[in-house]
Amino acid sequence: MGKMKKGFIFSLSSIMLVAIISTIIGMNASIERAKTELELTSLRVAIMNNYVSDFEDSYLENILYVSGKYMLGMLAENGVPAGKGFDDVFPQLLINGSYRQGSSLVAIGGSGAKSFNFFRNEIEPKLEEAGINIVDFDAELVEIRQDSPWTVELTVDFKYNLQDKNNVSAWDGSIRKKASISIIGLKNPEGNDVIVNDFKDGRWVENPNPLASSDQYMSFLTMLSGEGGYNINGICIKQIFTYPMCICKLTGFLNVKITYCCNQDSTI
Amino acid sequence: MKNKKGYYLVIDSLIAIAILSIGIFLIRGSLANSPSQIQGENLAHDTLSFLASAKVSDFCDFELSICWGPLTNLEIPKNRNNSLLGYIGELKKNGRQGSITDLIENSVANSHILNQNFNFTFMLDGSLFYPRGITKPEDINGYKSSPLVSSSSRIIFGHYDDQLPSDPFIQFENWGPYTAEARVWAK
Repeated sequence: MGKMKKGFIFSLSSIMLVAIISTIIGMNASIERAKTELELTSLRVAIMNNYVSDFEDSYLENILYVSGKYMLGMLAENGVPAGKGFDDVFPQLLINGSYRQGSSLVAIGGSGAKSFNFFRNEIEPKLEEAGINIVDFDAELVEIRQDSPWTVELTVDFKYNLQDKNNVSAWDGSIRKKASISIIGLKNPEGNDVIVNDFKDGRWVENPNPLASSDQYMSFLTMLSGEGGYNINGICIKQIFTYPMCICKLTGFLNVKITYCCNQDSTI
Repeated sequence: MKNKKGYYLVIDSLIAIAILSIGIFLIRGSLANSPSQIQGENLAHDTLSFLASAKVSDFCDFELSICWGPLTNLEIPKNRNNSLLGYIGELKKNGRQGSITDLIENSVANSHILNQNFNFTFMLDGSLFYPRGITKPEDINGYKSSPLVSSSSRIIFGHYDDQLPSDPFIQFENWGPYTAEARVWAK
């Protein structure tokens, strides 16, 4: 009787032991599965974060420079469309690669025009590879100014909304970017070849004279904006000569000082 | 007689405990030595971060037109502000595939960035640039059988002004966006 009781206890305890061990192993397996799933999700989010930070930190800044320089170059080479102001056309070109003329859109530079929208289309497949969709992308030109005789500074506010394909994460960002664009290498605006020293073979080159200050020349943006006119010894001349290059020769001869930024009141 | 039996049982249980402890110790020890996922991810991430943060201007004297270190014998970068990763984009734009492999070899593979337990591949837009002479990572010895493969990717995009000595015109060029990917796997 005693032996049977003993055997019964042993059987029970061995069954319990097996049950406990299999429960622990089962729990461990499910914890491992959850951990792997969590690790994979965080790995996916980390990869996507990498892409998003590259997009925000580097891509937007670079496309601002490239689009800005491209569009300034297009306007310098072809001129601002007749009846349109630079301030009206440039922001539209920068964003869309086209501008509105009445009820129609006029494209500049064809389908390869390097506008923000062009670059949005370029980055879209790359982001999709990482499982990110561009839900919204918008840009607004805040400021454009002549930074130095050879650089134009652009300030743009970018807004974007990116979403993970699996709806695990989303990025809603708004960031201000600045780019200082070198105008060296762009063609001179037609009919404004005033800066003879700095203009070789149809293109702007760096001024070889380090003493030449910016106020001796009309700024690049002033030329593009079509405000026109050259301030010669305090007198603003809107239309100069048939051959504006003469101005530079005259400066040497008459020792007059030419500045840009025409004062409208003194226009003759 | 009963005492002797008890004595045997105690010794038996002690031997069993010793065997179990040694087993557990060995299993835990082998787990500690196996490469972890985090380690692989960090290495892949660090490799790309190094390439993205090291500047070409640290390895070149642009006035003298000479470069050293990982850029030895490579053409002078056109954008002085570029990182090594940006320079790789510039090389791809200009069709200098071999130079990309040289740069990766000199900067990552031959340096001590990678742990010796790991191997590494570098890809740009899905094309393999390191190791040399192989087109798919799967063809590399040990890749398929590796217990651990980690990867890190970055988007690269850039621009440069190009002026030939004989030509006063300056060409403005941009390249990308390309996807640069570093894959790290345990040997």
